[in-house]
Amino acid sequence: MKTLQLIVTSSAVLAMSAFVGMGVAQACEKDHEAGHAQTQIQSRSPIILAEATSHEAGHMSHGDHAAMAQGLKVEKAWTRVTPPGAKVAGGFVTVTNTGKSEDRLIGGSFDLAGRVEVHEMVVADGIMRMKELAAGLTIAPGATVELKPGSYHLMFLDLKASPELGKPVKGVLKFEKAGDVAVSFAVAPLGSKTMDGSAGKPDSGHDMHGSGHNH
Amino acid sequence: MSQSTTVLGRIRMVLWGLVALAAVVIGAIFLGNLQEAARTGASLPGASRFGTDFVLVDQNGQKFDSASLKGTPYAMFFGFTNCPDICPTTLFEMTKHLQALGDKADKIKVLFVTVDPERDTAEHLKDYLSAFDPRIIGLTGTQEEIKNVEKGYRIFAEKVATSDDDYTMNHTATVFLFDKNGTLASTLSWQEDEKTRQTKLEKLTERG
Ligand SMILES: [Cu+2]
Repeated sequence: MKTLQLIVTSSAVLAMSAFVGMGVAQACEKDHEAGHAQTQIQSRSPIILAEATSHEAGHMSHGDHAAMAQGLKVEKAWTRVTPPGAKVAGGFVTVTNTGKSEDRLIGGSFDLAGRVEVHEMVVADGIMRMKELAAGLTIAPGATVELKPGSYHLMFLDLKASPELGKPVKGVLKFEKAGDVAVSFAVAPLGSKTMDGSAGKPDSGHDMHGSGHNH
Repeated sequence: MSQSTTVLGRIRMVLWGLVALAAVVIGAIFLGNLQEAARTGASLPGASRFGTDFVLVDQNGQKFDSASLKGTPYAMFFGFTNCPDICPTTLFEMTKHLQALGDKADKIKVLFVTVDPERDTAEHLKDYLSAFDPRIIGLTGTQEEIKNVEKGYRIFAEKVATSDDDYTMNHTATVFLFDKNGTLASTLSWQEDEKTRQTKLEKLTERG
């Protein structure tokens, strides 16, 4: 054990002195590398899926539709099948602010839920934390905000029934400025991580939880 | 100018070499310690026993005594059914893993312990878990019993108030894997890819 400690200590010292040395060497070369310092990260995903919402929005009875659709693009609204008896579900959607002023997603409704909240979820150090964004979710001009599993989501509370696979559920997104935007939430399988249900289907073949297999 | 750059470059290479060497040495020592701990069944360095004895109730309303886990490797994770995302997803992933394990899945047990016993009664768990692999054992108990298990397994769990006098829970989402001696062998994280998790579970069944 003594020898182990000795090795640990000596290698730690070795590492530290090496790092200090690195710093000196790096400082001397700073001029050379200054040019590389700024790397721009570009991530524009060109995925554009069904824009069901632009149709839906037309059914809104109040407010100026053209005006409210003007500043925001709402797409990829989806949710998933919940386990039996579940009282909550997550709702996901992608919102792009095409206008010039900031807007906020402050709530909404979902036909199968008693109420809807806007939530933030974070997993850090192995702990899942979720909280209501009481002031809403800011959508800055030009920004695209994706509500998705493991992140921001609409929290559907007091579920009256489980969403059924392939049967879209109507709802409304409430924005501070743009007002109400009607949406139709596609329903993906239980456990889906994306709207198209990838990673959402268990490898079939085994008979499980009696979902009507006849042998 | 260019000469000094070359010299600096060389020094830099040597220093990087030393850093790498030191990193390897330190890494090897830590790994050695961990393996040693795993072999002897001792707890990980700096940690006392992870886990505790408990008696809870399963989704069928039957008593579940942790003594029944002796000699069987098991996976254990905590959650609640009023969870929109990570809990059903973990249960779903577990279902997929168990299916992929095939017969080997019978060599391990999978425990899902609620951190919300107030709402998650055995009855409710039974209903909820019917969507997942029937081998997953759902556990609930009194607030106090659950608190004890959380403490024993060092699980973080707290209520968070939301509007309408309602609440949600923040909680540890890690899946803990224990070998047949009840020693923490590994963990699964939700962020890991499926293959890594599957491999860890495969290994767990072989530890049986
Ligand atoms: Cu939530």
